[in-house]
Amino acid sequence: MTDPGPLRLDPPGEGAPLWRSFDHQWYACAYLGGPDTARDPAEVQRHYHEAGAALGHAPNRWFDETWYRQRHPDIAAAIADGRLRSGFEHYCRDGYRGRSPHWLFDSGIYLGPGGLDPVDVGAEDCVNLYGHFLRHGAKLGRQPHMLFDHALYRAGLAHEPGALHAIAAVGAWHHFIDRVWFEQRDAVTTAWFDPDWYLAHHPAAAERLRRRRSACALHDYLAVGRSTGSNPVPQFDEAFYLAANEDAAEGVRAGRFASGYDHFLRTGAREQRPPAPHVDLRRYRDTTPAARIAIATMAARDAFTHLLLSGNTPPPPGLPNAGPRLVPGGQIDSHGHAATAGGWVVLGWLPGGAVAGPGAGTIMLAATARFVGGDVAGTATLVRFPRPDLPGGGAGAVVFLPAPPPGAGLGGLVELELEADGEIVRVPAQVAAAPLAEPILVTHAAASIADLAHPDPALTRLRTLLARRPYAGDSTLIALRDPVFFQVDETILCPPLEPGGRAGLALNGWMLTPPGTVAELRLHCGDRSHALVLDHLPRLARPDALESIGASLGLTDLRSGFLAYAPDFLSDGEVPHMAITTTRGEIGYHPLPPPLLRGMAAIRSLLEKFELRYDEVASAFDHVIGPAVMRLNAARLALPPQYRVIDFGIQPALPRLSVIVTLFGRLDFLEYQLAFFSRHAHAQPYELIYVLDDPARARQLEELATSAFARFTIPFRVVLLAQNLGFAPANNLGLSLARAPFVCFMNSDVFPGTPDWMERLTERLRDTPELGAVGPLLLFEDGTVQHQGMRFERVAQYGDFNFAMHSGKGWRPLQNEGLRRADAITGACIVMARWLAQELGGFDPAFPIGDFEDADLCLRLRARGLEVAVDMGVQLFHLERQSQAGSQNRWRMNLTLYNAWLHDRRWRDMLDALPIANDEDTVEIPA
Amino acid sequence: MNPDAPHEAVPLHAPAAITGGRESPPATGARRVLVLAHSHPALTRGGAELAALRLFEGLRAHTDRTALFLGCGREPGGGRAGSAITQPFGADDFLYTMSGYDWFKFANHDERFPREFAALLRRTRPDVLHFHHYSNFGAEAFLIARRTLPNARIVVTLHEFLAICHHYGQMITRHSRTLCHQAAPRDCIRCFPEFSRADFFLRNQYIMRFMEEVDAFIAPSRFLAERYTAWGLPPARVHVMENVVADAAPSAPAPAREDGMLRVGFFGQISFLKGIQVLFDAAAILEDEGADNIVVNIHGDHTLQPEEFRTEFLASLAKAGRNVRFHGPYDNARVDGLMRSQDLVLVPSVWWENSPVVIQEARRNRVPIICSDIGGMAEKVEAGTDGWHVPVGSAPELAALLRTLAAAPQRIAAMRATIRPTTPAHEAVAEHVALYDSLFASPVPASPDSMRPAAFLPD
Repeated sequence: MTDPGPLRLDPPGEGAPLWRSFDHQWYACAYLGGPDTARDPAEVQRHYHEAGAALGHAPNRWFDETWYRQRHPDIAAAIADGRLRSGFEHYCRDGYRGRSPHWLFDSGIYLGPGGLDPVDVGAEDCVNLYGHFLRHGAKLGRQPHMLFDHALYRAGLAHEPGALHAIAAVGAWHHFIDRVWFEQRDAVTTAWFDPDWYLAHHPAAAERLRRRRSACALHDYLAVGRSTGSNPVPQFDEAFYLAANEDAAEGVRAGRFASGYDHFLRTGAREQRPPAPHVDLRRYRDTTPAARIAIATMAARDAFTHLLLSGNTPPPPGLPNAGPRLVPGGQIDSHGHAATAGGWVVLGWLPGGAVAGPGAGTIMLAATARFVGGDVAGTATLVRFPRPDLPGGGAGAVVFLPAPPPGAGLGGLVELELEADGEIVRVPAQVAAAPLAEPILVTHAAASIADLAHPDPALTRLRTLLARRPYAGDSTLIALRDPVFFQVDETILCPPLEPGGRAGLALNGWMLTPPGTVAELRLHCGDRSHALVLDHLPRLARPDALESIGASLGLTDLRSGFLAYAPDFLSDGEVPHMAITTTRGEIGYHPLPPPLLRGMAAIRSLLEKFELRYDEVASAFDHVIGPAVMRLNAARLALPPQYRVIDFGIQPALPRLSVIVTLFGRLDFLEYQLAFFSRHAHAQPYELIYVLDDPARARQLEELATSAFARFTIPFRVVLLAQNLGFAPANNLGLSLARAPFVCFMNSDVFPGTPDWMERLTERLRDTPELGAVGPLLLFEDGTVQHQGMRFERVAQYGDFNFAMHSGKGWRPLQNEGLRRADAITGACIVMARWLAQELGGFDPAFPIGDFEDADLCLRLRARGLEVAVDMGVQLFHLERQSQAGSQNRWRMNLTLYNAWLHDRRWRDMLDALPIANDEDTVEIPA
Repeated sequence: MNPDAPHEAVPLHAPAAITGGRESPPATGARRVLVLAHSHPALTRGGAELAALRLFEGLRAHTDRTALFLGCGREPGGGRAGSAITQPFGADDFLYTMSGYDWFKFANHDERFPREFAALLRRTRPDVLHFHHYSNFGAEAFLIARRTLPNARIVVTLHEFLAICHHYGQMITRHSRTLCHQAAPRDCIRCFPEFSRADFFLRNQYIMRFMEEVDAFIAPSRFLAERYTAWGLPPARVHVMENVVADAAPSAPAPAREDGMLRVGFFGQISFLKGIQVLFDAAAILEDEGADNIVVNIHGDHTLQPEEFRTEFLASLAKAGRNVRFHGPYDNARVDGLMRSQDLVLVPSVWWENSPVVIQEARRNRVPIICSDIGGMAEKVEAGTDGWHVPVGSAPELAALLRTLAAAPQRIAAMRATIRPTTPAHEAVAEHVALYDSLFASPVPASPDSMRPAAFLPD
């Protein structure tokens, strides 16, 4: 075999893949004592070819010669035999087709979820996956290695000036590689590897790093540490894991896994296998609600990940049942509730030997604070600090017990009971010790633990809690160490249903933050607070937020918006604010905009925001939209309506029927109706009441009514509302003015067909006592059925709510005489006795604007034992929806959903008990 | 009042030009006739108001009936404050100055009209109200009349297809301008997407509701009558009867022609629908073929057309060959002479037409007619007797026919011999009077509730 000679290498960025370039700056930095810019690049390259390659040097920072030889023993052997000059040469000729070139690139991961996306551009001009990643994937944030997480890396450096821009320019991975080589600064790249801890606990690794044998802690771990049994994080014990899991040990021996930790991350963590003797993941998950939520929402992959991300102290495995050992002693010096930190802070001392473990350090343990008026229990943080003044090895103690602010009547603290590792310590309080004020208490506690060295996560967390400051009226989110972008665009005050109650508060906002950053969102007002669990709230697409903020953070959550509702929350004059707690324990505040909208404008604003996924509908209406809209609508209608009445012509003295028509938008329907009424000389006197629910058109209606009366000479009455009320209240106002024994609610777009329809429908009611209401057969303009009665069906995509279905709509009517019983009939034309309509209060105004109130009225009749039916022999035309505003608007669609929700919650049980309506056999033809 | 006189306020009492025999008046019934027109001949000179005027004149001249006239004006402030109906032109000549009108469904929103119209009726107590057109009064006028004078008979002469078609009653599609055979909401919204099917349903219901009050409809052509009965008017109430047309001026002999030229005349409004483009295209074909013995004379007015059409017309004219001559508008008094100087009159309209006055004028001057083979034209020009039909819109076939006739002048001469004369004015008036009287032979029928537009009936 002839020697092909040394490879000719181009500088980076000149066409060839980065891994195939010669990077003279890096080479000089790595092997020649620094990035000496004075050196001739050709001379540096000559050094590589003549000496470096043989010495095992790499030509650039993207191909790791040492790694390559170590990872591929066959190649190392070939080099030793002189068959190959270098691993690099092999990779360029052959190995690029599948061999691993770098410690921080794993083609299996790059091909997996989160890695290369099939839609990524540029695949065609890259010789291999690694080349694609270097050129495109790194910038796109695709995952190259299990231990490299772009978002986390960015979040970790977010506080460094300019870092985010630099990361955005080259991609997180390149930024990290440059940083560790050229700046010799480490960084966190994953929740699963703690560089500081690794170096602190592996002196040999620290020494290798110092001698630049490795670029950073993670490089050392991957190249050396993990194959020699080093632990990557304190919560994982490699030796323990391999001993406890034979399958893992076997997999490592066979080369399928790089280490026990590799096995654990790929398999064991999901199965919640114990990663270390002192860590019980199952128990951690079961006892930590935040962990469960984070896992359910995929903010954390598994309990282990949450444990590392949260900085929590892991619970040890449950001990064999030995019974608690009671240890007396100690003393509580002072205590108090720190609302900002979110719990009770207790200061005092513990006797030597109390609570297992060394005399100082932080542990998590079960605690119960006994007060005069009751107990407060939970998992507390105990920090002990040296108290040389105490005899017998006693230690000072700060205990933090998370709990909401106490209500009245809890009284003074009597004792604190701590339980850990099977022993119970009861620490008595000084007699009559009054709680300290929060600022003094927190300062005192923070000072007591300020000097402790070697802070562990739990101590760091407690310090963070004690460092929290109360809300001062401004947003403090910017000061958080984690990027948290949060905005509330609008708040809507939802007045109480009962006078003197508290108002609810609806919010519309968005939040963008890397997954796992935020532990809790809480709305505060006075001494009340309300947690917002975004995953239980209706979410909104916010492309605006994503474009302005999300892109720079590498976030892709389009549905960052939310609607929330805090029930019974605000009293008059109170100003709420938002508190956001991060998983680190920091707290940030954000003020809320004052509520501005009221009434229908507020309802509309709330309803036009969202387009729910099918599975969200029921919950969104039950918890957020339903209660908010209900209160807004009730408040809107709380005052009696203002209106004027104008009579055209002399009203009949003793009408038999009052026809009530609500006008909205299309006023010309009045003209049509009167024209058609004029065709028939009605045998019974009737009165016509037009209610204009469209105040802006009052003058227009006055003019049209004047002209229509002059033309048709039919007397009628016009009721002009001062505000838009909606279908039900407007009709009810008409009902309150009605004088005849029968009333007909009629839509403005219903027009007579059968000339004596009024007479026939009132006679039908009079002759059929079991009927509570009757309506005509309504036809479309082409003679097909618009309405011949409704039955109810649940609609899965809309919250599984019951919806009224119009039987036979658009079909030719099957018969033209007789009564057709139905579950409900439409309010477009419905005749009933006036006393009954008034006793029922007409249509229920809880249904805003117009939907479902007719079904509700019919079901209320049914609940009284009365039936409803369509008289198929009486035919009118209904042009359907002409009289209402276009229903294409999202808010109108959502309002229909609201009405469906309200109706369903009221009638579901009764509707479930109804027999299934049979469309074919419900007609009675009277003999 | 002479329609061809200048537009001064002409008293309606002016002696009629032609006198006829007088009938004895009936003891009861149609003694007093109120003729109504959607405009007033003193203000505008459209076909409908001229037909109304001639009827009015004829009634006064030929019969012992009393005739009154009510026209409409649209002049803003043309009325007198407080009065919508005035008498600016004479004692029996009334003018309604309209305000507020809904052209979609022919509804009159003027709140003064019902009261003042009813007052006029009570004062003048006509036995017959004869409407030429009902727009401007509003279709409700029939109801007001019935309410005010329950025993009066209501007669309506139909013009175009206004009740049926919202596109100016033309039954030509709005955008592609193709022939429409039947109105239906589903089709109407293609022409007028700004309205809904329901709107057209209501429009038809609305107009029909007031048509129910009408005792007799007069259609000047069978074609129009068939369209309206198909739409829903009861056939028993629809009568085919020509409008009253002025008689021809005393005949002057046609100028002698020895040059072998074929002179073809186009008369009247110059518009797209009148088929002016078909004329241009046919002339261009003849020009291309080198036919130098056919000349097309265009007499008429294009200035009232939309700007776009006017530009197009002038451009077509500029491109037209030497065989096309444009003579501009003419005074109707000269029409008989102008027609007689032609060998043929061309009526190439691309819409249905009703009963074109140009055909009446050609026939009374015994000039053979070439017209499109559709609608009122085809009906009023009997092929082989009065002239020739060409397929509507077909320039090549029109060109071929003209070429053939230019080579066979004897065929034109033969046609001139068979052409049917028009009904003389006094006979047309007598037919109208006979119809009025027949309406008094039976009591006013109750409005049939079943009367609805056929195209919209459910079954």
